[in-house]
Amino acid sequence: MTCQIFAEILEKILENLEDDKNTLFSCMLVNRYWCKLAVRILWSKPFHLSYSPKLVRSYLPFFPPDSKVTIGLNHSFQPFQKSNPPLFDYPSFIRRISVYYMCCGIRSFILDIQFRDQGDSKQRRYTDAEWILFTRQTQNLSRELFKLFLTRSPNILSLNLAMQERDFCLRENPNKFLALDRYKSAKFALSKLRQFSSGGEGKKFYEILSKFCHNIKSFNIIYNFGDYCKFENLIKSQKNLEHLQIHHMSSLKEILNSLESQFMSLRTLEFWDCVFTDTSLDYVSKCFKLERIIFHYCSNLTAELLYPLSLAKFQNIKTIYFRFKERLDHKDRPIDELANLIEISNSTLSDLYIQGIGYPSIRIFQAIVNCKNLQKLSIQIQILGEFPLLLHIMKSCKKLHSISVQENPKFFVENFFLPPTSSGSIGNSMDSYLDANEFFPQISQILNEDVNHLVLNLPNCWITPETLRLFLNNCKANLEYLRWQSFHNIQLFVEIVEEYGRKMGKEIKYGNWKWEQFRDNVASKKTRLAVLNAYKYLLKTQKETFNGDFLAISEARRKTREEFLKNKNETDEIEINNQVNQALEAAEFIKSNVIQAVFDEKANRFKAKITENTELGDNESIKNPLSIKELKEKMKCES
Amino acid sequence: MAELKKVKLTSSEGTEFIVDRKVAEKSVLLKNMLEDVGESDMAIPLPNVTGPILNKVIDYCTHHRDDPFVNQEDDSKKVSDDIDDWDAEFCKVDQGTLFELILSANYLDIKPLLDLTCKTVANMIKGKTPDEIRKTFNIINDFTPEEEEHVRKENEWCEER
Repeated sequence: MTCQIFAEILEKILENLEDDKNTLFSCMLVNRYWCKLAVRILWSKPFHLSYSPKLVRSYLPFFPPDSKVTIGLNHSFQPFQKSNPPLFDYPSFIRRISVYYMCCGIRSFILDIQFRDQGDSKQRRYTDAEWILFTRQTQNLSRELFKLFLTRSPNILSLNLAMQERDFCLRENPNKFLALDRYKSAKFALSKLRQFSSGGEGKKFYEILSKFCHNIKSFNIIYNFGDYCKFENLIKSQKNLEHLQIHHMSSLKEILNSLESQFMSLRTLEFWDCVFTDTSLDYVSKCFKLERIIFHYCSNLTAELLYPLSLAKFQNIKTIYFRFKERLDHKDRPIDELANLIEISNSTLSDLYIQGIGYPSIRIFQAIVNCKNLQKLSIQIQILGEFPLLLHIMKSCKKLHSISVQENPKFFVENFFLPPTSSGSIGNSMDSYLDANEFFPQISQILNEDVNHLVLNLPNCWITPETLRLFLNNCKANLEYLRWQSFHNIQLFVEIVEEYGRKMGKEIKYGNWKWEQFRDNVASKKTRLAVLNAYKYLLKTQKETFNGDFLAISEARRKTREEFLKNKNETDEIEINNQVNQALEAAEFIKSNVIQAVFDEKANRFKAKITENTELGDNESIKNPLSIKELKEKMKCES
Repeated sequence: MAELKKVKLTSSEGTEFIVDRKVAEKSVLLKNMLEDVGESDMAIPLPNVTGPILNKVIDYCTHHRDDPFVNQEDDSKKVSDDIDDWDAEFCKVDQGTLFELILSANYLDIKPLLDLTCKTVANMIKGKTPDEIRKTFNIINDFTPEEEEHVRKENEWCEER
C-alpha cells in the first residue's frame, strides 16, 4: 500500500521534470523502480525534447514488417536490429505529438543514415534529387511512426499538426499523411484528446476528427491557408471547449456561429492576424464565462463588429487585449464599444491592452478609472487631454503593478509636426504640445508602491537626465523595469538608473526604444547574459527569416553554435563585447537583408517574402550612377 | 455564517487541533466529510497524520485560506521555480518532514500543497546524476550492469543536444 502511494507520488514529482530530459534520464538510471516511472514521462513527448537520430532508432524495433518495407530503408536498419528486444514498449507511452517536431527528428535520423559513412556529413551540400528523396523518406517514416503511435498508445492527449508555414509534409492534406480512417485504433487513441492544433488543408481529416474527439479543451486553428477547411463541425462536436485560438483566418463567419454550441464553457478566445468581414460577434457576447479575449493585429475591428461585446454579460473577464492593425474611418471607430466593454468588466478586469487604435479615446480612459482590480495596463496616449485621466487611473487603480504608456508616433507626426489645418480636429495645434519634463514629476508623485514595471513613452517624451533623476528620487514605486524615451547621451540616463538601483539595493532593468541603447545595454557588465541573449536573438532572427526552410535553419543554427563555441573560453570582456556586437549585427543583417523566396503554388512561381524588417533600398545609387572618376575619388577617400 | 464555525481535528497521537472551518475546507477530504456529517462537535480523527505534521498543514491552509480553489483538471503548467517566498520558506524542512507533508497532502487531498511539496522535491532532483539522486534519497541500485547498459543504450538520445 505504502509502496503504491509512493509510486503515485513519485510520478507526480517527476511530472515536474517533464521538460528536463537530462534529469529524467538520470532518474531512469537510479534503480528499476524509478526507471519504470521515469520512462513513461520521458517518452510521453520525446520529440519535444530532442531531435537526436538515436531517438527514432529506438522506435525501429517496434515497426511491423510491412511498415519496414514502406519506409524503404530496410538495409540501413539492419545493424540495429540484432540487439536485445527493447526493455519497454516505448511507443505506448506517447501522449503528446507535434508533427513538426516529429518530422525534425525523423529528418535528422535520415540524414544521419545517408551520410554516416561520409564523415563530415553536415558540411555537405545536397543535390535536388537527394533532397526530394529525403522528403519522401521523411514523409514515409513520419506516416509509419504516427501509425505506430496511434496503434500502441491508449491515450493521446495533445496533437499538433501545425508545421512551420509551408513545410514539407503536411502542406496539402493531413489525411493523406495521417490517414486516420485506416487505423482501427485511432478512434480509441484520440478519444481523450484534450489539445489540438490544426494544420494543412484537409476537409476529410477534420471531419473524421470531429467524429472521434469530443473532449478537446483547447483548440488552435493555425496556418490555415486559403480558408478551405471547415472547423465548425469539430467545434460543435466538443463537449466542453474552453480555449479557442484562431490564426490567419479571413472567413470567420461559420466558426463564429459555431460558438453558439460552446457558450457555456468557453474561457478564452483569441484571434491572431484575422480579418473580420461579413461576420458578427453575437455568439461571442453570449459566452458569459469568457476570461480572456484577444484580438491581435486584426483587421476591420469596427464599431459595428464590436457592438455586441458592449452589451455582453461577461461575468469573469480578466484580460482584454486589442492590437489594431489599421486606422479606421471616423464612423467605424469602436471607442464607445470598447469603453462599454471595459465598463461591464470593470470589477473583474486585471489585464488591459489597447494599442494601435490611432485616434483619441477619452471615453476609454474614463472607463478604465473604475477598474479597481486592474493590475496591468498598456495603452496609447493620443492627445494631451488624456493625460489627466491617465494620472487619475494611476491614482485610483490601486492594484496596478505594470503600466505601459506609449505615444502613437504617427498621430503626433500628423498632428503636431505638420502645420495646423483649418479643420480644427482635436489636438491639432502646437498649443497642445507639453514637455515630458512636466509629465514626469506629476507621475512620480502618484505612482503607488506596487508598481514595478513602468514604460513611459509619452508624447514627445524626450526627457532630460535631471528629470529622470528627480523622478526616481521622488518615486515611491518599487521599480524593477523602467523604459523611457531620450535622444542622445543614453549613457547618462543609464548611469542615473544604475545609481538609483544601487541605492535601492537591487538591479533595475531598463530599456529604450533606440537600437543603440539595446546594444549598449546588452554589452554591459552582464556579459554572460549578454552572450546568451545575443545567441538567442540570432537564432530567433534566423527562425523568422528562414521560416519553414528547415535546411537553412539547421544550417544557420549549426554555424551559429559553432561560432559561439569557438569563443567559449574567451575571458577578455572587451573582446566578448565585440563578439556579441558582431552577433547582434549579424542578426540585424539577416533581418534586413535576407529575403526568402517562397514557392507560391497558386501562381506557380517563387515569391520573395518581404517582411516589415526587410530593408528596401530605393536603388538610388543605380539611378544616379557615379562616374568612374567620382568612384575613384570616393574609393581614394575611403582607403 | 458557516465560515466562522470551528472544526476539531485529532492527530494520530490524539492531540486535538481547533481550526476555522474555512481553513479545514482547504482539504477536499475534510470538506466532503463536513458536508456529509453536517453540524457536529465531534472531533475528526486523522490517524494518518502526526501532530507536528498536522500543525504544519494547518499553517499552510491558514496562510492560503483566501486563495481561489484550483480546478483539478486545469492543465495550467507551472514551472518549478515559481514558488513564492512564503511557500519556499515553508518547505525548508528536513527530508523526512517533507515526505510526510506530501503523504498528508495526498491523504487530505490538498492539491496546492501536494503540488508545492512535489515541486520542491523535483527541484532537489533537478540536474543531479543517478548516483547523487540515490545518495539524496538513500536508494539502492538494483540494476545489473547489463540492464543498466541496456537502459542507457535505448535512451542515449537524451545525452545529445
